[in-house]
Amino acid sequence: MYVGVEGVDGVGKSSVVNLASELLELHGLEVTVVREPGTRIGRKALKWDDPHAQALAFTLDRLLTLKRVDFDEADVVLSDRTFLSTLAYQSALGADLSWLLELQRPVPKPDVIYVIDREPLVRDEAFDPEFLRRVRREYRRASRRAEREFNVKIRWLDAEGMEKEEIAELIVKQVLRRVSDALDDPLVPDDLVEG
Amino acid sequence: MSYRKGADFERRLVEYVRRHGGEAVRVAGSGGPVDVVAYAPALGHLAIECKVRREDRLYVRREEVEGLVAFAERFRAEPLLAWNPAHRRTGFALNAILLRPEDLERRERSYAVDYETALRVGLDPRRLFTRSLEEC
Repeated sequence: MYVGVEGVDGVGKSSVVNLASELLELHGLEVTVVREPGTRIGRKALKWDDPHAQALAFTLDRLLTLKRVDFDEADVVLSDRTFLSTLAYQSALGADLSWLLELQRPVPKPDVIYVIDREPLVRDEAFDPEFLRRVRREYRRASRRAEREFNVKIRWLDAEGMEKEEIAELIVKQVLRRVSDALDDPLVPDDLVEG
Repeated sequence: MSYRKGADFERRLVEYVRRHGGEAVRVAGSGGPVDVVAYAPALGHLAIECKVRREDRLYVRREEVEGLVAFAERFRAEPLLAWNPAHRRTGFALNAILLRPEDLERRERSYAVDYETALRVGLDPRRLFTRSLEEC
């Protein structure tokens, strides 16, 4: 199962991915963590100012990063960012969303993407708050289009005021449910069942 | 070059790169200076402009070549022109010759190369995945 975690810079994606990975491993699942960008071209592109060149670099980076992942070996592939980041960020920087969607067509799509929706927890001087608000709006627009175009499930987590641990547990609970549905095996322990 | 033939050639190139352990993205509809961006194990990152021509001489407008070079610089990639001389049998993979901009003769309004020179100085797409002994 391929699971993406998304959200604007500073909402706690990396911590949530680390925590969720630990929790899933505690439940006996084999977890592979992926972080985008994962190759040299993608990391370099973070410093560029042309959203079209960035989109191409991030797409190539994604294809190369995911090529190294053994999807058959892992029970869960947990990714810190997915194609949705390119749609949201590069469209917020001025690239056309339809073109960006077309570019993402050959990219493997997650079974489900969780978007951590909240104000950034940390103020990074590299990011203008107004720009991040624009990206947040673009996540909404991009999600609607991506769900339609690629039939990918996108779950929004209204995470304002939530601890990272709570978000990770919420994701883990849903992932375990999906995995146990797929395996027809009850993996979800009582303490993680709602209500 | 008809749009369909050009697009088919771009798709075949993308598939070829992927099949051999690299990755490639077709930049459809961007109106930009490149058709394909790729990573190939032996040459690294590439920015490729594709040309299907049925003549023994390839002409490419100066602004196209210079746009490709400028994009490749920004992308930190190697700029390449992929020429498919559809009326010839080159013996190269995909019947394509990969040319660096410096392999073409610079003229007032275009860059040009003839078929024989292209065969001599150009790269077989197989070279994207193997290094020659001289490079080792």
